[in-house]
Amino acid sequence: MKSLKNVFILLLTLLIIAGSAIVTFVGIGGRGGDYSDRFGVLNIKLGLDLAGGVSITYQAEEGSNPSSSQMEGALAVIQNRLDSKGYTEAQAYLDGTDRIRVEIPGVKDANAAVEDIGKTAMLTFVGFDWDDIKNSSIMDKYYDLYVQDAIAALKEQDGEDAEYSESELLTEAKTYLPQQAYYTVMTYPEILTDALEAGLAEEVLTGSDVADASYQRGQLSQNSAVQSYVKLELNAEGREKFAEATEKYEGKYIAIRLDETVCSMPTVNSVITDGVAQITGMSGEEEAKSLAADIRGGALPVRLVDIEHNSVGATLGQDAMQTSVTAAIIGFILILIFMIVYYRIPGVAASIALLFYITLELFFINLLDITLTLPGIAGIILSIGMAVDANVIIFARINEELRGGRGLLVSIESGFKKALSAILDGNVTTLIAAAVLWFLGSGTIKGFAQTLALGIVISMFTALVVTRLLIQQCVALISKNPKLYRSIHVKKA
Amino acid sequence: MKIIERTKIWYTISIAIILVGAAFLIFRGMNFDIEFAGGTMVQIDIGQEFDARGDIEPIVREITGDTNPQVQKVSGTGGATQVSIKVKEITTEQIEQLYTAIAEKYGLDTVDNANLISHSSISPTVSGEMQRTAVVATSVAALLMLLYITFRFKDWRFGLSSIIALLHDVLIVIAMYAIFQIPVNNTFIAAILTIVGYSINNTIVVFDRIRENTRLYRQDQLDQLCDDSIMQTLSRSINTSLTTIVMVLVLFILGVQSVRWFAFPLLVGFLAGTYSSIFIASPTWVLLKGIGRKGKKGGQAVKRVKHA
Repeated sequence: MKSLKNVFILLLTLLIIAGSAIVTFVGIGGRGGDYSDRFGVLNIKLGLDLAGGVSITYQAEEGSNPSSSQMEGALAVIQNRLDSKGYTEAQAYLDGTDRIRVEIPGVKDANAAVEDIGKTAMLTFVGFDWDDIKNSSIMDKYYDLYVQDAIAALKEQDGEDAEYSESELLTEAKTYLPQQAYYTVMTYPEILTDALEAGLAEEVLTGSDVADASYQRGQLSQNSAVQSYVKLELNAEGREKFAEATEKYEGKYIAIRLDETVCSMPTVNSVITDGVAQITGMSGEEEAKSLAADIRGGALPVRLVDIEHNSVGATLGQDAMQTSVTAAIIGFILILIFMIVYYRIPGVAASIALLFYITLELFFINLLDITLTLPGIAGIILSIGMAVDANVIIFARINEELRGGRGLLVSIESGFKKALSAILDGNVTTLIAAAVLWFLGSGTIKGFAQTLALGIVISMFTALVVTRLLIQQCVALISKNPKLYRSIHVKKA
Repeated sequence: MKIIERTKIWYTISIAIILVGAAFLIFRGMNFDIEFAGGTMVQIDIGQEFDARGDIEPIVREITGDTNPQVQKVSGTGGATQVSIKVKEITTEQIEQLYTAIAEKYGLDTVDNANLISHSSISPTVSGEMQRTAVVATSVAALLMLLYITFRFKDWRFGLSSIIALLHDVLIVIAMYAIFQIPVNNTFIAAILTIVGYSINNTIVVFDRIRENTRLYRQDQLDQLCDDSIMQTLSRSINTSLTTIVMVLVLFILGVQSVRWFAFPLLVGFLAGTYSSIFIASPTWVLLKGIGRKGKKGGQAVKRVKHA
């Protein structure tokens, strides 16, 4: 009965390991097509150093003559955004005096990446008195636009032979638009650009005055509907400027603009001294969240245009990946041979557990969409080392117990028990380091920390649970001869 | 084996290596790569398929003297027929030479540098900000590890000794970077961090044994306690080092040049990590015990009692 149970456990364990190996190395999902290797090892994203990626070139807008500190500022903003969008392995650098290049690994669609890096727009707050604008000559252009739009709308409604009187429409424009500040600015946002040029409006704040932007959902006043909005918190300088601006424009408007688009145009109801503002008018949660992320990522000090997309090869050379993989496989096989020859049955159990460890590690790298780079591979090598180490510590302890003349089962139990504190403390300490690097680090450091942290957690599981389970079944089913559980090298006591 | 008794020898060996490294650091400096120092980027339209590593990289090395250039294929509309070469800051003449050499190799027009798409100076990809972050993150990690070990081992000396051993390993590896002029780039950060993890784990296994054995020895038998604990964990230390070192050694033998630049410091770091867990960490702990207990001459007093 008992041995039947052992057979069952052993088979089940081996089946799970074999299954996971197939999933990892072959992949599952549909036959053929893009999803055939959904969890397969080939699906793992490779870094710029190993596989190359997409290169995007941004150039400062023509005629903007950016200073080098402005370009460096823009570079820092882009690096921030890349990090916060999960492109931790992307590289960004200045090229010449007015270009920024971004190289992103594992991306096939450059346009999607450009979209993701975010708007290259500038955030500004524009304060103005509508009475000044509506009585100025700026309006003429927009009266004409209104007439054209109205004609287009009528034609759409009634067909080409719609009847209208241009002069009547113009009169309508001249009465309607000046009354409707909000409608006019939202419909014709360029009007603020004209107003700024004419000195009828002023930029009161820019993106650099913003300390933080966060997505919020709720009512902004007692009677308004629940809506998505972005809460802006200003820094000390911004707070002061905003207080001044709200005092100056009390009862008037301060529009919040991204480039020329007006995101929201609140009326200033009171002087705001706490430095908190809201941007409303988003279509929904998605848009509000992405706007908050764009602003948090920092407002660009110069306006950038993306001028070129290219795909680029691996920075370490095209053979780096192939040779590294070959090396890893050979190294791993050597370790397995050593373990089996030196530790015999426990060595076989550990080898199976290590194989399981590798498949799990690759599986989770795949699942969590971690981009694998050479430093990431270093993280894996270190965690393989620690996985082997855990087994070595345990087997050395079992050896000692056996040499002390104890029984086989007792020795195995006590070996695992005594090894636990060393394995636990060693792994937890390294895990602490990995966690800190994960949260504080950026780019390469983050990638390294991710594979390492993952590897440590998995290796503790495989060494302490899987190896143990396998050894126990071996004792029950294969042999109870202690010699087969001792290392070959019988050391001087 | 009397390890603690010969503390001075172990310290001397390590300090000597670190000092040689420091001398190289001062007189030759570190070999900062483009990722850290920026440099020049040259883009050439080869107009045909080419072998970036086999053909172009050697030309770049020879003309620019940069041991670790980045030669990448760039795909434009006509397939992967352009090359982007990133090297450390070079002069206009060197750019000319580089273009001429490559143009001759592929039979391109050398007049007017017709196929030279662009050349410009580029900034580092690892900004000063990122370097600072790396240092801050590593320091915070070291501090937290110190606290954890102190908490688990109920003795701050274990924590401090582990961190000293760790610092030792990192310094040895940095010394290797200076002595062999290994290019300092992204993989440098990764190598250092790997060694931090490896070092601390190794040290803890030995300390764990000391912690376990403490009650078996008298207070004046610290040397014996450490020597025995080191010996008991020796087979594990050797086996673990052997397996990890084999892994990296294969990578070093089979890898391409840039991968070798990475495998070599790791190899040194793993050796240093094993060395320090045996010859630096425990002796330091004994030393700290002595200082804590009886003032500066305490360590000596302990030793004398043992020999009596």
